[in-house]
Amino acid sequence: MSGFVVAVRTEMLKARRSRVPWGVAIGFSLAPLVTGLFMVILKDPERARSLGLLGAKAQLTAGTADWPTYIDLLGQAVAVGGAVLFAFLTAWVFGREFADKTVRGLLANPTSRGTIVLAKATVVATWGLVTTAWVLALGLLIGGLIDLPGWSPSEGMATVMAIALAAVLTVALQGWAAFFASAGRGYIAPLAWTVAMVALSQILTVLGWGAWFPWSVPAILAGAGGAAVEPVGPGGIGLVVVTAAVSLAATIVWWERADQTG
Amino acid sequence: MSAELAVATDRLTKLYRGNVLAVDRLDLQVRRGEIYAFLGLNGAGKSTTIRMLLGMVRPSAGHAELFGQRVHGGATDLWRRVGHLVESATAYPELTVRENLDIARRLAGMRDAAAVDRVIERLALEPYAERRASTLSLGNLQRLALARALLPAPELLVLDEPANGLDPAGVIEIRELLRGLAADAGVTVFMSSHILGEVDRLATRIGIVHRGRLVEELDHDALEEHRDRRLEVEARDVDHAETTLREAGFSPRKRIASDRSVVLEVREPRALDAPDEVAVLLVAARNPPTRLAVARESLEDHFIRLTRVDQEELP
Repeated sequence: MSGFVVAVRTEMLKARRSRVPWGVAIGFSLAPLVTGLFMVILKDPERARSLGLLGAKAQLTAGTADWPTYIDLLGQAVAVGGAVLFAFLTAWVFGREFADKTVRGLLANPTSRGTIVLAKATVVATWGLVTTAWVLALGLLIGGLIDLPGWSPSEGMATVMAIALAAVLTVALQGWAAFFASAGRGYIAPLAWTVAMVALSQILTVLGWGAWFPWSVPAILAGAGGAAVEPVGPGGIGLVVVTAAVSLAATIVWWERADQTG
Repeated sequence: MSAELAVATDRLTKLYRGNVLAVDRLDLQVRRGEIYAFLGLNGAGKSTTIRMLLGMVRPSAGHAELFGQRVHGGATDLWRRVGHLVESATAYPELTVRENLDIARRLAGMRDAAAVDRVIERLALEPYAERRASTLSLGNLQRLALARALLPAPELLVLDEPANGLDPAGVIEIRELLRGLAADAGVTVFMSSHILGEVDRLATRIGIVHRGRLVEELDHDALEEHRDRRLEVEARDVDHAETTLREAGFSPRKRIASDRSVVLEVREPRALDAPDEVAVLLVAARNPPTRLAVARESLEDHFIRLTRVDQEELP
């Protein structure tokens, strides 16, 4: 068995046995549940009020209770929620080695440090994408159960694919969270970085530069910002790919060259 | 450097940011099969040296070699021959003892799954094998860390405070284990420890580092000779005994012992070689000794004496 496969298996064992990755999966599952709840309320506000789901004077302005609105909301929840939750996952996978000081066992080791980083990145990507697939499947199931009108197989699947692409790009951007978890030797730096990038992406999207800012691209692809926002082209996606590749390389170089004093 | 050396450093230096000189031109040579104790006060540079030996910290100047091979972080083949425990014992808290060892085995590229069982047995971890590491006591966590270091049957063990957290029985057990590994399997042990009594019993060679520099390096037998010896004399009338000894040409010094009694210390070789003559002198002066003993400086006292020397006085 190659060193990489062994490293992935050990990282996967750690992930399976810890609460954090499962917490991320459960937290992410709230996206279709909450979005579905909004659709139930929009579909019949009076019934929602009688059930106590909506306050007497409150109104929900998320749009109409149909498939396009539902998928659009789900996409935004996946893009924004994914950016934060995947950062939690990445901060844990990389940062815990420094917080728990277990990194010492990974350094003077026959399995190279680069292999360890790639294995960790693989676990983050796998966990993130499997969780996204689960959330999308759950979303479609909930949409079907609510019996929303306006389902178009071609449009619906195109939107789902756009959300899936957004999730892939969101996972790819976690490379910088991995770098800051390593260089910051813990959890604070990657989470601070993520908050900063989410905030900056909002500002740049409003200013019209979102399609060219890597951290805005996934959310725009998933439908956040609406029709007023400049659509993302291949250039924007290319920027995300380059950013992800640079971040992964930077993380590997850091693991291989930085002084490990923790 | 000779391949007969397990560890060798050549002017190994580490200058951290902020101009902190942690290790200063350190030259170490540890022969295969030795148990080398690396002693020093907190901040003396022990851990930084150990980390440089393991490729975790890059030297600012000089270099380290293990088995004649230059150390760097990516030297993956070299690490098959080295087991290590750096500073405090750590483990993945969510995994059991067996799982912690099994992932270490896999990452070390070992195919022999039974090696985990053997090392669990060797470190007496059987009762805890299926327990999560988060539930282990400090002593058992230390055993787990030692088990991980021993797992690949290394030719060199680099151990930072191996007896940390162990109870007295555990300390003896680890001492015998390390002694056996060195004697029977020719394993080289490079260890730092604050338990100097333990080092005294175990090490075949001792290096003392102070402010990043090696201030003394001796074989254990040579250290015996190097240690300060003195004749301790107690008498009912200490002042009278002191006068008697001075008149006989000795230079006794008074010292207050831990039980508050006053002890005379005589260091002249003729007193150390023939303490009975000192006794005869005092008896003749009608002030016989109440205690007369040749005391040898402990490793602890020797260490304290050396590390009190100021940096300016060092070679």
